[in-house]
Amino acid sequence: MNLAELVEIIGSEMSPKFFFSQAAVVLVLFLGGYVLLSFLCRRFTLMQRISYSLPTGLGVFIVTGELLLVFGIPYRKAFLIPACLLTGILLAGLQAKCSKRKISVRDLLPEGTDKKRILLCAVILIFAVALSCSGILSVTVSNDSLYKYLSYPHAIVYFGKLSPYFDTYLTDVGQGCALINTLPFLFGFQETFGIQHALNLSFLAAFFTAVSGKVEDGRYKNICALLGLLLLLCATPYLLLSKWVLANDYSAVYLFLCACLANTAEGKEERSGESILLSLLIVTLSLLRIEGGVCAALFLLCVSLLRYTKGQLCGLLLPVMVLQGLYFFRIFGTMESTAPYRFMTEEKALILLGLLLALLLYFLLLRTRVMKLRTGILQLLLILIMTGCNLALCLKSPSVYLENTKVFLTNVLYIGGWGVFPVTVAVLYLICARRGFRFSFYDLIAATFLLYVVAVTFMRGDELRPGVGDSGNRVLLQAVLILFFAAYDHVSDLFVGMGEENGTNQKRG
Amino acid sequence: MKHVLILLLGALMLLLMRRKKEYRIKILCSGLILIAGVNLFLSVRDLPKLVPFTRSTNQMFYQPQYLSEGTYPDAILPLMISGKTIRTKDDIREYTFDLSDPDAPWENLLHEVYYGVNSRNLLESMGANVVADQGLNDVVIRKEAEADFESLGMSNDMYRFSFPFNDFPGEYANSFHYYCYYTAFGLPMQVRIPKGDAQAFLPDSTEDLVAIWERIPEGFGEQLYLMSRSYYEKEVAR
Repeated sequence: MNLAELVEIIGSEMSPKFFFSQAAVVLVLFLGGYVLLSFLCRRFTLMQRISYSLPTGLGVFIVTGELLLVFGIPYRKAFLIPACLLTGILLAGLQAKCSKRKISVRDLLPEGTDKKRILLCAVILIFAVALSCSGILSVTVSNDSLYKYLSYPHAIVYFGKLSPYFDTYLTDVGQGCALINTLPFLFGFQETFGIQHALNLSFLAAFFTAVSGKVEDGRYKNICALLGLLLLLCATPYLLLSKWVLANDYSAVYLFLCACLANTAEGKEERSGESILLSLLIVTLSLLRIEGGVCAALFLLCVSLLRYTKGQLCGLLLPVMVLQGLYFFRIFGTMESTAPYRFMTEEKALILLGLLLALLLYFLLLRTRVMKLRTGILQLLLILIMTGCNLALCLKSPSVYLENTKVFLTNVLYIGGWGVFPVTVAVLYLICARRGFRFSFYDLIAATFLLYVVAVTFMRGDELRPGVGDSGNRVLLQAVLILFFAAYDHVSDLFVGMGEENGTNQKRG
Repeated sequence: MKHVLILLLGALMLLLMRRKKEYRIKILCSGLILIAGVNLFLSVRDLPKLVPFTRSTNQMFYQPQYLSEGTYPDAILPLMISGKTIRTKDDIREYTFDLSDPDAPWENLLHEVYYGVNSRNLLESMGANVVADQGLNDVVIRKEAEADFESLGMSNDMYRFSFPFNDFPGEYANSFHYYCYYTAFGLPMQVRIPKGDAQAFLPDSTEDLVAIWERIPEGFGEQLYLMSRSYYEKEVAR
């Protein structure tokens, strides 16, 4: 027997087991997330619950896994599974306490849901999981897919803990993504392509729900949402991002979900469950990449311009501070890592924690006064601050900064896998430009994220290189989802406007 | 040109939507579909040129084409050796020297001790029961026998990222292999398996295996030879 035959036999013997294992894990994460979500967000529609279930389940898994690792509790199934259940119970219990309402089994389904709808959703769910894990949907993999995002998780599961001998993995790889990639080693399958595709399907469902929920006119809501999906699914950078097996897709999806939830939950103090869910998703976002704490801090600064109370904002920030602090203490305080090249160093970790602390103090002491200014002025101020940070970095090292900016432009316009996406987004804004155009929360997130990407890639130290695989280009790809949604949100306003006009015209007729 | 096309489409949409207000929704929908069509055409044309796509219908990271490309042998190795007993050389030497000494010739010294350590640790982490056997210490793969081996793929990256599985301090492990991989000394290293011996690596095979690591003729690096015990006794040990 030769090697080619061996590979074929191994594939055919093992693939059913791998398929069912991965599909089972995706289903369990989804169902666990669904149950928790139903207790947290009773007012969510069925579609909203379906969209957010897998990200919630994954979020609970990631946060729990991270806590096990930083506290040195063995990272084994015997500890991990009960710990995840405990995390879910604690979050549901917190919601029961905040809302002063007992949890009930009746919360599992929205009121008025009929059996046919449940059956249909169950069938679609099984089909979606099977499709995600089947291998029919293509992926693209690179060295980083195998080594940074599989070899490191392999080591975590093999040793059952973090080790100082993990060296640069501790300081260069987002723990959240590493934890997702421990799932194959824990539960007996080989790759995480199915999990990534299932998360992408969750995102598409969330996108559809967000757009159609805005356009209330029944004739146009589905058309508007489907057109948005069509445009996105045809876009080159979206296809690249969603199929590339790395951390960037996960970060992009969670950034989008956090933005959507933050915008819809604002000003609703009685909906404590949505705040708890938002907090979970933001913590997960902060863990997905090693610089995720900065991303979460910037996101929360944008959220602070919405109508959230001081208490709610602190509730969103504190878990991020705690988990980031615990992790940095674990790797810098209790381990002696002397990697010759590291992205995250002790100095950068201190700056990050300082930034989070400054944000907390701002929420507690200054925000109430600052919020007396108009929202538009605050948004402009935030963008100016981000621009100022970039200018400061440019002055610090003009050659590196300008070279990086040039590389970004080369990648976006020519060779970085962006296709005609930038000009498509520009056209979407163009057709929506009119008197009364309002700079939205999503526009703010998109703009600040773009400026954040340029700044954070500068912090890497070395120059970027033109090409689709460049790390700066890949981080920039994370902006695709929120950038597109920000633009398409304005397009959906056109459908709302047209629906109202046609209604008026019909009445006149 | 493609950017100009989208801009023109957008400008046309805007103009028509302002002139023909009664058809605005239809114009908007048609325009978005056209723009989506251009995006789709460019995606289908350009994406495969930028990155290779694969379909994991065998549910594995290791795709059949990786064998002919000679890449990612460590993605298939765990499935081939997990649960099996592998006998290896017992020639790991201990070195003690001051790692903080910038003049310590740690590259050379690490090479003497490190490859064997990493091979053994990797095989263990992949689920094999590794047994050190002094009887294998002086075994050399004869040049004539070498020709009977086929390559599972290049192992440079496998070793480059093997540092989590050793307890060698100071990050020298990682930087050593990084240095080795990217310098002129980092010649291709391979995982080699005898032709016609592959059935010993089937998941349900219970035959013991043998692992021999040997330096490549020039520069730093080792080949990892994996074979069944029966092949070793018949072809290599004689």
